[in-house]
Amino acid sequence: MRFLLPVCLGLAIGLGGQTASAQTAAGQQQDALQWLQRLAGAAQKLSYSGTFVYRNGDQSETSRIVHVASNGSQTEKLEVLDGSPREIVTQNDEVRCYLPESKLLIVEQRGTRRPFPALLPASLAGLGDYYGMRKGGRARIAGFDSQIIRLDPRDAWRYGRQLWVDPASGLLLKADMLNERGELLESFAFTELQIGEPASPDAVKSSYAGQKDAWQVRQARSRDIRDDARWTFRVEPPGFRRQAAMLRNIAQDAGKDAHEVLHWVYSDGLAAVSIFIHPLRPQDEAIEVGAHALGAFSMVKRIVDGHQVVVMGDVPPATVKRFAEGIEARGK
Amino acid sequence: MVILEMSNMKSQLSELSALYDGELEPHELASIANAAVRDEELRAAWLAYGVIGDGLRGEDIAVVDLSAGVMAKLRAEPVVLAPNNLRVSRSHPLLALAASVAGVAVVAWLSLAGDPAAAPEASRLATVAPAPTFVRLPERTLAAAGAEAASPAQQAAARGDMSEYLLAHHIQASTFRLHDSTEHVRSVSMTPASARP
Repeated sequence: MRFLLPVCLGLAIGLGGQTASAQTAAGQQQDALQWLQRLAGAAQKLSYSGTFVYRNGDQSETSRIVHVASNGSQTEKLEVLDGSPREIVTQNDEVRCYLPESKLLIVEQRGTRRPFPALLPASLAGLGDYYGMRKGGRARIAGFDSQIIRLDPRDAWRYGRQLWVDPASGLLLKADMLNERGELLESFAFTELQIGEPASPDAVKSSYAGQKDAWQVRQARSRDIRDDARWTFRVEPPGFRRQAAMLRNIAQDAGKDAHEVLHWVYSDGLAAVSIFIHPLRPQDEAIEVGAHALGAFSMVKRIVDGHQVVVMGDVPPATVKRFAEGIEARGK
Repeated sequence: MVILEMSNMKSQLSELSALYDGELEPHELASIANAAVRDEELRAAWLAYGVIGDGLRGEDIAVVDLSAGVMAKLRAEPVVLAPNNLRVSRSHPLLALAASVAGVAVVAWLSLAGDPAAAPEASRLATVAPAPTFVRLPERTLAAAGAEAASPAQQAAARGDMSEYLLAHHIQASTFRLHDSTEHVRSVSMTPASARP
């Protein structure tokens, strides 16, 4: 007993130390999670206007955004300031994309099944299984003193994120996407931001709204489906769950024949992957294309059982590849 | 220890071109591979050739990492994009689209090159691209590149599909939207070059 005591003590101290560090990690995780929850709510509830820069590799693009939230409804205008002019006006679930150079207006409804923000706490809580989350230091972004939140992937199937949050409003000021070596793939950052409603309600109207007659309008249509019994996954990357399944018509304008495409959305709560499947048509090229990545965006194309399968998302090339390789026709 | 000298660099770049045309012997391959490991500039050129070559041949081996260094390389030396004996067997909608994502229009341009009907689109694309020097490739190269390209209809169909897929992805697949805006700016950054009907 005399000999055992130091051993037991040692063990107890060792275990105690481990538990304490585990608690610290869990505490950090919890802390970071609360920041994320706040951040996710703020973008929806607040009105704000600002200018931000999107960087991908050494390319960058500046955009102006005005977001108005009032009485549970949301309107937003996003205007790309560099290169060819483009505008996106979002009113609740309707997204209108104006491409003035080609006089093309694309209208798309966001599905009502959208898990965000209703299912947010659940999906955020699950994030901890695939990302280590912790609070970082403080930094000034666009004149705001921000809190840094870091999300490090626990495996190679997803990218890391570093987020800068305004502690007062909870608004996201900057977001970086990082690869496994911590190198920057893509970045969004406000360079100027004002919180509060814009002086004029016209600030969220499209500059092209008045001249719609001359524009070609392309209405993207999709309908939710429960499942598609025809396809199944042999393997899929861990942590990704199906968020939505829909059938959509692609290429609806008069010049092209519309065809129905199965569209699945998978997500691990942070990264999202789309899978598009449609039967090969005579004019389709039956070629497969290996995983390609640009910045944080990856894409792959496969031919499976007479169908074209396209997988894309903000994930490493290996992840889209795994999705593409894992899919097979049921009953084969 | 191999130290690359400037004069050596040029010959190694031409070796790279040969490599991607499948004209190198195994021992030459090993030598240039070793050199590329040590030399950042050569490595960037290596990647650039790989991207273009794989893309144009439609081969299933390219996992492309267009890091800042590679992009800078592409800007500095557009000639890298048009090796003399580049063989083009197919158009490459995915690569074209990926290229337009960041505005590296030349790859899109190359895959459009075989399509006379797509010329207006290509010129529009040139105005969209932030790096216009890239689109001014010699006519001869473009004509050669397009010699065996897929039919205009096939190309148009493929391009149209991809841009619509992209837009659909960005509108529907944002489960955790930090900002709506960030999702959209990405999709509009990607869309215009190839969304034109």
